[in-house]
Amino acid sequence: MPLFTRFALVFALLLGLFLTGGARAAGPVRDGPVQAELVSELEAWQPGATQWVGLRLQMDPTWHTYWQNPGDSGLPTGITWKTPEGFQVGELNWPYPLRTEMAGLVSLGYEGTVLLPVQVQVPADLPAGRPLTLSAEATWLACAEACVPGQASLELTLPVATAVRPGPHAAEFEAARAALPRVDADLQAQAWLEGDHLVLGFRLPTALAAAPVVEFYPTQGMDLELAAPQRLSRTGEDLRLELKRSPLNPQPPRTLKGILVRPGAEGWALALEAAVADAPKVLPVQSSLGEVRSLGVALLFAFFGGAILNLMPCVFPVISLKVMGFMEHGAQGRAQGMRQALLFALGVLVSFWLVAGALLLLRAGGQQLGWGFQLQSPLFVVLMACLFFLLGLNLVGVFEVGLGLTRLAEVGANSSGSWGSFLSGVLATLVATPCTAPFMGSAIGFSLTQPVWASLLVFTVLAVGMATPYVLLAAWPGLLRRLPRPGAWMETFKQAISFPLFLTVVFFVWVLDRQAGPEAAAALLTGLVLLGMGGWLYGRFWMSGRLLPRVLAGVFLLAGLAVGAFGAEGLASAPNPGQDPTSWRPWSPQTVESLLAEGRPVFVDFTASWCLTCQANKQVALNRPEVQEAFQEREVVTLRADWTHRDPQITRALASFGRSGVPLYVLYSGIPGDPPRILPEVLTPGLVLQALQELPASGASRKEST
Amino acid sequence: MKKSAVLASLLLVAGLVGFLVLPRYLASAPPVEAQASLGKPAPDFQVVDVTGEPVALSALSGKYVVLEWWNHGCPFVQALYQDGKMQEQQRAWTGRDVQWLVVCSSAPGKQGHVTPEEAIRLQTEAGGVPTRILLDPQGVLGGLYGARTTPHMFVIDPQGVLIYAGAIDDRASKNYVEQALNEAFEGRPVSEPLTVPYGCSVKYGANPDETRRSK
Repeated sequence: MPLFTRFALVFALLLGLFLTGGARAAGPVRDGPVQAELVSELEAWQPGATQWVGLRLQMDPTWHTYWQNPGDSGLPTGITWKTPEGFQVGELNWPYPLRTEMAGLVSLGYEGTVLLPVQVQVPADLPAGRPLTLSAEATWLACAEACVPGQASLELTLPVATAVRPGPHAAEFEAARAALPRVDADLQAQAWLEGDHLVLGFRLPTALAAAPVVEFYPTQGMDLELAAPQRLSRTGEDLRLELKRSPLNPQPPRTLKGILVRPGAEGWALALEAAVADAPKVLPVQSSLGEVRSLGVALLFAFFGGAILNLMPCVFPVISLKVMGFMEHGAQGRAQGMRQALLFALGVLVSFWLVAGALLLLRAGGQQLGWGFQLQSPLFVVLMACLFFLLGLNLVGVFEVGLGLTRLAEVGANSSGSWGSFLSGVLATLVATPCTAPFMGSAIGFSLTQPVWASLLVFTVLAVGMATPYVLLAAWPGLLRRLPRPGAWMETFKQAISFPLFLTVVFFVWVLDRQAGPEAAAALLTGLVLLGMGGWLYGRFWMSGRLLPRVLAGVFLLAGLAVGAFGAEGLASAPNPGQDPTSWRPWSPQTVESLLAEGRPVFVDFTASWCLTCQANKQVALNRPEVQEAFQEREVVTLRADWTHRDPQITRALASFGRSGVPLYVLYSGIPGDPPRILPEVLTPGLVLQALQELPASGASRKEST
Repeated sequence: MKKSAVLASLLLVAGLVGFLVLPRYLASAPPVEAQASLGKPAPDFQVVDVTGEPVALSALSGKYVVLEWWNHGCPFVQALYQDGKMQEQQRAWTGRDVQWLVVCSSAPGKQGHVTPEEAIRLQTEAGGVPTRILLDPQGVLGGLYGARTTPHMFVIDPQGVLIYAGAIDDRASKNYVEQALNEAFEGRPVSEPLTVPYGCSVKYGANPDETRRSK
């Protein structure tokens, strides 16, 4: 290559460099719909100081550029720096973005003008006077309906001075910094998985706690479906934000990182980072009976709840069986009584573990289930009805299958007597599930948010609480001595206590009617008749030793079960919602939200047909004329959330109140920011009336309360 | 003997309860998601391509399928086609019997919306060699796969399982689709199965949800 050519080449390169350098602009540079500029808060470089510069983007109307996480599409604005020697430039800082949605896709970005501030460390040994230039290559994507990528080479030249004054952009820097997500140690947050949602539970710092609306924007990733509405609910100070997970990404994130934003004119943003757990560590639980915030309190509640469970209507039929057992073995002394009571307790314990185990297992599988979940299955209801019908027939004497359940202890070594006690414990637990006793709801609700060992501990204590009265009874010889001696009267007593069992059957038939319709209920009744025939054949002919009646008895018994089960499965029709004499409207989260938005007070009855406590409350309190009148007078909208069938939405709503079962009664005052009030599990008209009385003045006179 | 009969029948009933009730919950456990999810069977679709031929994902089982969301008016798509990067991948993989489906979900009146003839012309002019071009003006396919951007890429394996979803590349040297297919062809799991797509938003038509939360 000739020397001249080489020289020309070098010259051209130098010229090129010079020209591109010359294209760098100290002022704003426009590319497409965006004008970009490097600006400084101060008028000069201050040696040794850390000061702010920033990338200022001015978008044409309708155009936006993007935040660090652009959302469903787009690209974050980027910048690379070329600094004078000794200067150090930090990362871009991102004021909280504006969320816009177009055709189901969400953008997180900026409209109008945005200043992305950066901290610059100026070296200490700069001679004053000489101007120094900071240059940068900025790239961005601007989108309106269409998208245009943009870039600019920018320069910022400032003199060096020891005394510096704020420049013309100082106020903008102030505003930009105010819009940066703050790190606040008082923000307590945790995240956990609930089905296809990630739930963010948090408490805002006191100064910000009054914010009516907050949203969460993740800083990165493919974890969330940004277009899905984020449902915010509040219990006291505790906020709960439901974030839909992206269906594309089956892998839940380990940590949820992003910002909490209160959008709007008085907006702010808080930086948030929370580890994602399978279940919340401490779910905010609040009830009229006090808050359950620690395992100790939960255990205490569980114990009392278990003991009180014995007084709830569900367990009554089994209690009569149990009393019978006491009478029978009472005569045999304290040691024997104690043994049977402990076996009963063991039966209760084991079945609580089974129920809890099944519940935890199914919840781990992503099911939205709670206490009493098995009663949401019509088949289970049918089988319980059959079981109780057979027990009743047995007690009334249609057939004598040995001595079984009712003869709890004849001889100390009698193994089936022991089994009987154990099984009556199992039975007591099975029939107890339609009931929730006071204290119990909070305890179970809390336990399900805990690690497995803690949940099992709570269930164990619940079982212990339930069995304790019997053990105490057995350990109290004075009472046992007062029991009449066993004799012929016991046969009468045994027959008499069959009737509560038949009443239980009526309850199950009614539940099935509600759940699966009248056809299913009719099939169940037919099945019960077949069971009756089977039992009768068995009782009448079993001892005869002839084969045919035995086979027939077996056939009828099986046929009875089969017809009942078929009814539950095959004939299930539109459930019979039943006629409510009162003005209850169906519940949905949206209904509650929109009513509250209107400022209307709302009462929600979380109930289920199979929940006996709920039915009792309805009759005793909620449906009473004076209570209904009070609802109307205070203009309270009454909503009913029916959990007779499985309903994940209701299960989630229950969980948001720290519950896992019904009944639950919630009264919203309709005043923004006012936490809803939770009424006890067992209602009286007085209780409801008082709660309604205490509602702040409604309607036009409504004011911001504390 | 009689006592054991009572016990046996009670246990039988308890067993029935257990075996009949629990499996019903377990069986109904995985909620049937009609949406694409990584590592799960990709949702089937039946559409007609720009030449009028029916295309069904289920009919392509046994082959790798690539879905490329396309909008010829989007600068990101334009850049990829101008550099030849997209066509290069199309050529390389259709040559190995991969079914490369270009999908356009631009709604009528929105950027990138094309007639079948225009779609063929634009792809031919750009030197694109996809197996098929699918027009999805209603955004049904886009909704099914959760396509957000143009380009947004999806790779489905011969068993019909979604093995990659995300960007075409890292905007530097690494092509994610190439990497995913290379790894899959070598029988290895895809090392980066989910990436954040970049580009223009898919220009879906207005849907009922649109007005819900926009501010």
